[in-house]
Amino acid sequence: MATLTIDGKQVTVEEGTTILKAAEKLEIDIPTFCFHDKLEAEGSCRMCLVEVEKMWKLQAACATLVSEGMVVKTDTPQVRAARKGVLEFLLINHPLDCPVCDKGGECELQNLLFKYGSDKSRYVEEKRRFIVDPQSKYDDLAVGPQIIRNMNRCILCRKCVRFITEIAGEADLGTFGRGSKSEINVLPDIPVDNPYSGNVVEICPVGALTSKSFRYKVRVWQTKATPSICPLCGDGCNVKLWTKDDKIYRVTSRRNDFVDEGFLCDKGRFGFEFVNHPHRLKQPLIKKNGKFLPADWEEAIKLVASKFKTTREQSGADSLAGVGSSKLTNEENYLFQKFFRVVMGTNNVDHRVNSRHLLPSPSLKAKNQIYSTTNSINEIEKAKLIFVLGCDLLKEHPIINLRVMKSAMRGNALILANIESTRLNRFAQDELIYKKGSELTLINGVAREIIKGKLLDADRVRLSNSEMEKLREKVQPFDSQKVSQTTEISSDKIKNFANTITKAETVMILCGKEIITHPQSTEIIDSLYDFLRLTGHQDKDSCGVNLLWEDCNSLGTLDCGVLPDRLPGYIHVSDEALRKKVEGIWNAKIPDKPGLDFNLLLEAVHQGKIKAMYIAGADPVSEYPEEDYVKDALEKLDFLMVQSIFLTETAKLAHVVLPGASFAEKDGTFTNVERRIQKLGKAFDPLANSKADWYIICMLAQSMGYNFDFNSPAQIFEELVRVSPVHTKLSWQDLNETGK
Amino acid sequence: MFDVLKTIFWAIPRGLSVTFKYLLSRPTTVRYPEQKLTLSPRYRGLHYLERNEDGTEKCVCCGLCAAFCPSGCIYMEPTEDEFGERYAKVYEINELRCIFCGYCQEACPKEAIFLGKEYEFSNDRREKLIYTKEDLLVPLEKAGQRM
Repeated sequence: MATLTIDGKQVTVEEGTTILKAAEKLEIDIPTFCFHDKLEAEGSCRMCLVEVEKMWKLQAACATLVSEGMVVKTDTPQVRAARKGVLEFLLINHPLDCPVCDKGGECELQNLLFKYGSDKSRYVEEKRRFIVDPQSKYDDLAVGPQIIRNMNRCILCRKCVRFITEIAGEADLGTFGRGSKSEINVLPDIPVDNPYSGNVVEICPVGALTSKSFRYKVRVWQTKATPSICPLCGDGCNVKLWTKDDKIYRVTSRRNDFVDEGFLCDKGRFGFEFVNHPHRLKQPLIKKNGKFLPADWEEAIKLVASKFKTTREQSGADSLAGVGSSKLTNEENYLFQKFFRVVMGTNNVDHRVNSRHLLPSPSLKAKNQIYSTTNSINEIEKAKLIFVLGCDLLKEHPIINLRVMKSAMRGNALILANIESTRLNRFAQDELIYKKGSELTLINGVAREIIKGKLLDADRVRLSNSEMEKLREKVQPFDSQKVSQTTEISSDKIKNFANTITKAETVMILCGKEIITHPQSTEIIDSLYDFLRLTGHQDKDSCGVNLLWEDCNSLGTLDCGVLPDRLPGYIHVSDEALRKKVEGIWNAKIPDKPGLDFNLLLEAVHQGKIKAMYIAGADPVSEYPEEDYVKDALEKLDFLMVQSIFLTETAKLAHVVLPGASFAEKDGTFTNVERRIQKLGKAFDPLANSKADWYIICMLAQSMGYNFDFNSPAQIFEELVRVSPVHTKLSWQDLNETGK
Repeated sequence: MFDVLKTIFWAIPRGLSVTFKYLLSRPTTVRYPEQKLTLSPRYRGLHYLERNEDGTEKCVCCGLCAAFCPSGCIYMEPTEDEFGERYAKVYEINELRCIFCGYCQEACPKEAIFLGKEYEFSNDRREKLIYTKEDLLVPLEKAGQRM
């Protein structure tokens, strides 16, 4: 610890802290250009110069470490003159094209110049230009599919280059030339197209790097920034939606150190066009003689309610079924299952439409075993060995991929096991490419290798003798020859892997889509837990098995009980005591027989047992592995209602289609892969004549004679907290900044 | 009593003297529209958008005029041409809302918008008083010469 004085105020910080960080603690503002919290300090812009007593020159605050008794002054005439000088030098070559520049209005140079700079320039000579095309007077160069560079505006803080090399782990942007001829550029024919390239636009302090999708569309001060959550994968990155007149113009990151550390992948940053797509459904559609005709809400809701009512009266409640979606918010999913259990009176409700093989619904006690990540995202950095199984992290979870890369770059071991080589293998100590479907053999083979090779440290084993015996028996048939034959990995590699994993201090296992949709997923996960207990990596920090769910709210949908046998919080429907408690809150009776899951539902439809179905948000026709099977089933239904934002393949089969709202048009919460519940922000009202999904469910309940008395998702969430044991101790207000 | 009478007695010819003075002088009323006033050089009338000497538009659609406009009557949408140059796809001024304060002219960094001397643009249709870019741009033959 070191105590220093900054501007007369004392502060105690750890050794190795920079002056800038110490000043931040005192809330003293020191201007910077080249400093970024997550990057190594470079000290190239000289904007953060401060006066330190007993040092005869001004020091760069971002790169000077504190020491005991240091006296720092950040606002002396000398410092002010230095800042003014730095800004004047930067402006020598910086063109005054702010009216055209896309950064105008949020430009660091503009702001700091306004605050610290001089109001006139003494420079009269011609400004430097980096001519791209002699014919054109604009020096814009497309350096990537999304990024345009204008070198004239660059102040060479090199944040972009440092981001690409230090964080994204690529090398497709670099500094070329020396002195005043230095330029940020790409090698010929190798554009910047890594999946994190959009971040360089955001961290550029001036308008040197701009994005093609936002460029010249709107001025930043005309837009409104709404804090929200990215809906495109399970990571749950925090974003800001920049909107004007019911249109999203761009998405930027909103730093949350628990999740994204202030970076976004290009999918999240540029993949928002669907919100304002012209094909969005604008009003309710009713099918008459095989053709969709627009209708008003009252008519559509009345029709749906009467159809559901007559079906229930004629063929019983169990002839109705509901399919929710892991892309809807927690509140909507909660309301959806409540609608089915209370208003319809059936447990036939599910959301797992993308696989034929469903993981069993977890029990309350074992909820941390199967349906959850045991570790937080931040713990990834601390694990000494990360084992990625059946997951192309870069494609499925780009932001978790960043954390894994960061961990590997810091020297922690990384081992990948995939069906094909992934981009992450640059950082991996070892990569095992196995034959599709042979995961279980691989894990058991390694377990046998560990037991057989006596690699174990007896103190670390967390299995009782009988369990050990069981495991020994289980892995007995997986001898190395057979394993390497089935998995197509050489036995040496497996031996090596067994060795590394037993010796590692902490082991974290990340499983992806390949495992979740695997026919033997339960066995694989059980084996992985056995495996961790065997090597002594159970119940330690940053050790555990983590399932990385694919959709933005996969985990939340499970938690909210859109399952045929589980109420919110994984209460089993046959569990009398807990069910009674929920019945008390809902003031209604819940059927105690588990309903049918999606596979059984389809079968029941084919057998004619299910007459009417309500699909909210999901698109089983394109998501289910066997398209024709689903299509046939849905066509057989007497009545199908689909709630969606587009006329999907499923919606085309419906009798009534109700237009829902996208994530930008409603409030709500998403639960990300580490079970962090985060709030969406409503940027504008639902477009055209569409309505938020929770509101549609409320309207339906109303017209079926049951009062769902909710005015906002906040109220729904408060009820969810009362009902679900998973969500206890949460409140809507607590979720504001970083989620919980 | 006498004082009061004296005041009344003198007040009548004094008032009438003003009347007779103006009866004999030239009238100040201008017979508009046959006659027109000469406007002050600082008069602020209908807006126009200036062109460069080569006939291209000066406006780059930076949005500063709209940001300054106290009555919020300027609407614009930027876009880029084939050379990557920024220009206004849509530029509209709602002349019904405009208070002719001249802040847009003041704010413009490109010297593209000016308030001219034109004031005869009344119309019987409200929609027609929302001036588009085509209405506002100076004719090509007058490019480069300040009106």
